[in-house]
Amino acid sequence: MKNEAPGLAERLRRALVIAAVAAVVYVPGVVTLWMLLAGRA
Amino acid sequence: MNDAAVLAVIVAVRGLVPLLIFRWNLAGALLAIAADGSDAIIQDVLGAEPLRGCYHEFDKVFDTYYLTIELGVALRWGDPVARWMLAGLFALRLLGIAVFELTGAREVILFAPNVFENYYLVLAGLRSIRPGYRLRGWGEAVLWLAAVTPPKVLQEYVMHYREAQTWHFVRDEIFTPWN
Repeated sequence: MKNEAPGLAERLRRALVIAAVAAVVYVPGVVTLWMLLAGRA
Repeated sequence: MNDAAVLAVIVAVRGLVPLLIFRWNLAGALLAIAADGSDAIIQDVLGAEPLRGCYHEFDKVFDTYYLTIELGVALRWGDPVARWMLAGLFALRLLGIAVFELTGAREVILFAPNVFENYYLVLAGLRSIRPGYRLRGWGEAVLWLAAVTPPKVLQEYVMHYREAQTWHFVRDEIFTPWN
Protein backbone atom coordinates (compact mmCIF):
# COMPACT_ATOMS: atom_id res chain seq x y z
CA MET A 1 0.00 0.00 0.00
CA LYS A 2 1.32 3.44 -0.94
CA ASN A 3 2.30 5.82 1.89
CA GLU A 4 0.62 9.17 1.34
CA ALA A 5 2.52 12.35 2.23
CA PRO A 6 0.98 14.19 5.18
CA GLY A 7 -1.22 17.17 4.31
CA LEU A 8 -0.57 20.75 5.31
CA ALA A 9 -2.69 20.52 8.47
CA GLU A 10 -0.84 17.42 9.63
CA ARG A 11 2.55 19.00 8.90
CA LEU A 12 1.52 22.10 10.84
CA ARG A 13 0.37 19.92 13.76
CA ARG A 14 3.70 18.09 13.79
CA ALA A 15 5.60 21.38 13.70
CA LEU A 16 3.49 22.63 16.60
CA VAL A 17 4.24 19.47 18.59
CA ILE A 18 7.98 19.83 18.01
CA ALA A 19 7.90 23.55 18.89
CA ALA A 20 5.85 22.97 22.04
CA VAL A 21 8.07 20.14 23.34
CA ALA A 22 11.27 22.04 22.51
CA ALA A 23 9.92 25.16 24.23
CA VAL A 24 8.89 23.33 27.39
CA VAL A 25 12.16 21.40 27.59
CA TYR A 26 14.54 24.27 26.78
CA VAL A 27 12.91 27.64 27.62
CA PRO A 28 13.02 27.14 31.43
CA GLY A 29 16.71 26.33 31.10
CA VAL A 30 17.29 29.49 29.07
CA VAL A 31 15.32 31.63 31.54
CA THR A 32 17.19 30.21 34.53
CA LEU A 33 20.51 30.74 32.75
CA TRP A 34 19.40 34.34 32.13
CA MET A 35 18.58 34.68 35.85
CA LEU A 36 22.03 33.39 36.79
CA LEU A 37 23.77 35.74 34.36
CA ALA A 38 21.63 38.67 35.60
CA GLY A 39 22.56 37.92 39.19
CA ARG A 40 18.93 37.22 40.08
CA ALA A 41 19.47 33.63 41.27
CA MET B 1 -10.59 36.26 47.85
CA ASN B 2 -9.75 34.67 51.19
CA ASP B 3 -7.03 32.06 51.69
CA ALA B 4 -9.42 29.07 51.75
CA ALA B 5 -11.08 30.02 48.46
CA VAL B 6 -7.75 30.60 46.72
CA LEU B 7 -6.45 27.28 48.07
CA ALA B 8 -9.57 25.53 46.71
CA VAL B 9 -8.95 27.04 43.26
CA ILE B 10 -5.29 25.95 43.28
CA VAL B 11 -6.11 22.40 44.47
CA ALA B 12 -8.85 22.08 41.83
CA VAL B 13 -6.52 23.20 39.04
CA ARG B 14 -3.61 21.01 40.13
CA GLY B 15 -5.82 18.02 40.92
CA LEU B 16 -8.03 17.97 37.84
CA VAL B 17 -5.83 19.18 34.96
CA PRO B 18 -3.37 16.21 35.12
CA LEU B 19 -6.28 13.80 34.54
CA LEU B 20 -6.23 15.03 30.92
CA ILE B 21 -2.94 13.13 30.48
CA PHE B 22 -4.90 9.87 30.32
CA ARG B 23 -6.77 11.07 27.24
CA TRP B 24 -4.12 13.31 25.64
CA ASN B 25 -0.65 12.04 26.61
CA LEU B 26 1.20 15.11 25.34
CA ALA B 27 -1.31 17.96 25.52
CA GLY B 28 -2.42 16.80 28.98
CA ALA B 29 1.20 16.80 30.18
CA LEU B 30 1.77 20.29 28.78
CA LEU B 31 -1.37 21.53 30.53
CA ALA B 32 -0.24 19.86 33.78
CA ILE B 33 3.00 21.84 33.55
CA ALA B 34 0.99 25.02 33.00
CA ALA B 35 -1.12 24.11 36.05
CA ASP B 36 2.10 23.52 38.00
CA GLY B 37 3.26 27.04 37.21
CA SER B 38 -0.17 28.53 37.84
CA ASP B 39 -0.22 28.42 41.65
CA ALA B 40 2.11 31.40 42.13
CA ILE B 41 0.21 33.30 39.43
CA ILE B 42 -3.20 32.42 40.95
CA GLN B 43 -1.99 33.67 44.34
CA ASP B 44 -0.71 36.89 42.76
CA VAL B 45 -3.87 37.53 40.76
CA LEU B 46 -6.38 36.62 43.50
CA GLY B 47 -4.43 38.48 46.16
CA ALA B 48 -4.03 35.76 48.81
CA GLU B 49 -1.17 33.44 49.74
CA PRO B 50 -2.58 30.25 51.27
CA LEU B 51 0.63 28.38 50.39
CA ARG B 52 2.83 30.77 52.32
CA GLY B 53 5.38 28.75 54.26
CA CYS B 54 4.43 25.36 52.80
CA TYR B 55 4.71 25.95 49.05
CA HIS B 56 7.52 23.47 48.41
CA GLU B 57 5.78 20.60 50.21
CA PHE B 58 2.49 21.35 48.45
CA ASP B 59 4.22 21.62 45.08
CA LYS B 60 6.10 18.34 45.52
CA VAL B 61 2.91 16.42 46.33
CA PHE B 62 1.10 17.65 43.22
CA ASP B 63 4.22 17.31 41.04
CA THR B 64 4.54 13.68 42.11
CA TYR B 65 0.83 13.18 41.43
CA TYR B 66 1.00 14.22 37.78
CA LEU B 67 4.36 12.56 37.16
CA THR B 68 2.89 9.30 38.48
CA ILE B 69 0.03 9.60 35.99
CA GLU B 70 2.60 10.13 33.20
CA LEU B 71 4.55 7.06 34.29
CA GLY B 72 1.35 4.98 34.37
CA VAL B 73 0.51 6.11 30.84
CA ALA B 74 4.06 5.48 29.54
CA LEU B 75 4.15 1.96 30.99
CA ARG B 76 1.31 1.10 28.61
CA TRP B 77 3.08 2.36 25.47
CA GLY B 78 4.50 -1.06 24.66
CA ASP B 79 8.06 0.30 24.47
CA PRO B 80 10.34 -1.79 26.73
CA VAL B 81 13.36 0.55 26.54
CA ALA B 82 11.24 3.63 27.27
CA ARG B 83 9.54 1.78 30.09
CA TRP B 84 12.82 1.01 31.86
CA MET B 85 14.30 4.43 31.19
CA LEU B 86 11.24 6.30 32.43
CA ALA B 87 10.76 4.02 35.43
CA GLY B 88 14.43 4.56 36.36
CA LEU B 89 14.22 8.35 35.99
CA PHE B 90 10.98 8.42 37.97
CA ALA B 91 12.49 6.27 40.76
CA LEU B 92 15.58 8.50 40.89
CA ARG B 93 13.41 11.59 41.24
CA LEU B 94 11.21 10.00 43.90
CA LEU B 95 14.25 8.86 45.86
CA GLY B 96 15.77 12.33 45.61
CA ILE B 97 12.60 13.99 46.90
CA ALA B 98 12.34 11.48 49.77
CA VAL B 99 15.99 12.00 50.80
CA PHE B 100 15.59 15.76 50.51
CA GLU B 101 12.45 15.78 52.66
CA LEU B 102 14.14 13.58 55.28
CA THR B 103 17.49 15.36 55.39
CA GLY B 104 16.75 18.86 54.08
CA ALA B 105 19.92 18.66 51.98
CA ARG B 106 19.10 20.77 48.91
CA GLU B 107 22.03 19.41 46.88
CA VAL B 108 20.20 16.07 46.67
CA ILE B 109 17.82 17.71 44.18
CA LEU B 110 20.79 18.35 41.87
CA PHE B 111 21.58 14.64 41.80
CA ALA B 112 17.96 13.70 41.25
CA PRO B 113 16.64 16.29 38.77
CA ASN B 114 13.22 15.87 37.23
CA VAL B 115 14.61 14.60 33.91
CA PHE B 116 11.72 12.14 33.84
CA GLU B 117 9.36 14.92 32.81
CA ASN B 118 11.46 16.12 29.87
CA TYR B 119 12.03 12.54 28.72
CA TYR B 120 8.32 11.77 28.89
CA LEU B 121 7.51 14.92 26.88
CA VAL B 122 9.96 14.02 24.12
CA LEU B 123 8.60 10.48 23.83
CA ALA B 124 4.98 11.65 23.99
CA GLY B 125 5.84 14.17 21.26
CA LEU B 126 7.46 11.51 19.07
CA ARG B 127 4.45 9.26 19.56
CA SER B 128 2.13 12.14 18.68
CA ILE B 129 4.01 12.64 15.41
CA ARG B 130 4.41 8.94 14.72
CA PRO B 131 1.86 6.82 16.61
CA GLY B 132 3.39 3.64 17.98
CA TYR B 133 6.90 5.12 17.98
CA ARG B 134 9.40 3.06 19.98
CA LEU B 135 12.99 3.75 20.98
CA ARG B 136 15.26 1.64 18.76
CA GLY B 137 17.57 0.62 21.59
CA TRP B 138 19.61 1.89 24.50
CA GLY B 139 21.82 3.98 22.20
CA GLU B 140 18.88 6.13 21.13
CA ALA B 141 17.55 6.18 24.69
CA VAL B 142 20.86 7.58 25.99
CA LEU B 143 21.03 10.17 23.19
CA TRP B 144 17.63 11.55 24.18
CA LEU B 145 18.72 11.50 27.81
CA ALA B 146 21.79 13.58 26.95
CA ALA B 147 19.58 16.03 25.03
CA VAL B 148 17.02 16.66 27.77
CA THR B 149 19.11 16.52 30.95
CA PRO B 150 21.18 19.78 30.90
CA PRO B 151 18.25 22.26 30.83
CA LYS B 152 16.53 20.43 33.67
CA VAL B 153 19.66 20.35 35.84
CA LEU B 154 20.08 24.10 35.31
CA GLN B 155 16.43 24.69 36.16
CA GLU B 156 16.67 22.57 39.34
CA TYR B 157 19.83 24.42 40.38
CA VAL B 158 18.26 27.86 40.08
CA MET B 159 14.70 27.12 41.22
CA HIS B 160 15.17 24.51 43.91
CA TYR B 161 18.80 24.75 45.04
CA ARG B 162 19.21 28.54 44.88
CA GLU B 163 15.46 28.97 45.55
CA ALA B 164 15.20 31.86 43.10
CA GLN B 165 11.71 33.21 42.29
CA THR B 166 11.46 32.35 38.60
CA TRP B 167 7.92 33.67 38.18
CA HIS B 168 8.83 37.04 39.68
CA PHE B 169 11.83 37.28 37.31
CA VAL B 170 9.69 36.43 34.28
CA ARG B 171 7.02 38.92 35.36
CA ASP B 172 9.52 41.70 36.00
CA GLU B 173 11.90 41.16 33.06
CA ILE B 174 9.69 39.74 30.31
CA PHE B 175 6.05 40.65 30.92
CA THR B 176 6.48 44.08 32.52
CA PRO B 177 10.05 45.23 31.77
CA TRP B 178 8.93 48.89 31.78
CA ASN B 179 8.13 48.82 35.53
